[in-house]
Amino acid sequence: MAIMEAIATTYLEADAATVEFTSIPATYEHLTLHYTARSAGSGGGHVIMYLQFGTGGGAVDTGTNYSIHYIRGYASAVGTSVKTADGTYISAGRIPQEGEPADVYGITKVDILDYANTNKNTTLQFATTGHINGEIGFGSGGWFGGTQGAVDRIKLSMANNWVRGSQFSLYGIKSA
Amino acid sequence: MAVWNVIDHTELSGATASWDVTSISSSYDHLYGVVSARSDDTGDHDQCLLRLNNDSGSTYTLTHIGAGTDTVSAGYSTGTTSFNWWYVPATDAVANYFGTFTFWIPDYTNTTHYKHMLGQSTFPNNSTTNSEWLLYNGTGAWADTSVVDQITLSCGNNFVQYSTFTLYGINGV
Repeated sequence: MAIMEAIATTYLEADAATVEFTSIPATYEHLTLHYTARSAGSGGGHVIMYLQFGTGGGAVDTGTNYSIHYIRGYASAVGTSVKTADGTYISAGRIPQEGEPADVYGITKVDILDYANTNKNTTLQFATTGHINGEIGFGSGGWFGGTQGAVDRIKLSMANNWVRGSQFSLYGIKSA
Repeated sequence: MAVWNVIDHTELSGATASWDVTSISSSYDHLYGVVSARSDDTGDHDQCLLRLNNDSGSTYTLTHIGAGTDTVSAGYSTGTTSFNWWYVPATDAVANYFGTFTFWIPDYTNTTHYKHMLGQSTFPNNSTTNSEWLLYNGTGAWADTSVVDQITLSCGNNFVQYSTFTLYGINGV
């Protein structure tokens, strides 16, 4: 029996507003989500993205039930760029826009620990780079929706579409 | 042969001072740990530590980058008695948030070099107040060439119920 298994991969053949993993089984201990992605926004630089959780077979929670902290290096500077309580999403990733060279996609890895434990609110850690002007960072996020249900849905979106060629892979990691 | 192998998985049924994995097999190439934990210490967070082979001597070197305010800082120290740059939420943090900590110990059976670890840790919280959240990425070296056969994690106070700890052995071939 494999300990680490692929749950699903989405490769965009066309621009899309959202990428959503649904019916995530509760049979793993941890989830790890990897994406290589780009935004259809017309500006330069990078933008944030929105990660939201759902449980109980329903839609993702869009309430003010998320927190995030993110620190970064940006060219020769360092600092805190996002620090939010009572937010409506976790911005776990920095995504280059269409104003940047066409072959530049941001990369992100998100670890969602003990996501099916109903005695915990779900927390995650992530590392990301938007590749633009030396942006690199890592952060934490949490979902305290109050239900403490097992995460069975993850929605990834932005202010603009994800562009064709973006890829998102969700893996489950077992503990037995 | 499987690439990923579970060496130990523990979910605490009550407050516990430490997670201690002993007699770790030498049959893997690397070790990878995943921790989702919280402390019953007073205050917002608790500083935690990781030791190898139960060595509490001044044999560890640490390097980290992190923040708990708007200012990111880096640190380097030698002669410490553990890898101690990771933190978990404690009593005053938002309810039911557990900290994340992942760590790699590569080539842990190679007796020709010191042992190293690379990790990421977060103390998440629904707060933007300084020091009520913490993020750290860090590395460390243990000045010992012995095979690693024991890993011990602890904090200033107990880990709380439902804290989970998983240690994987990773094969390269």
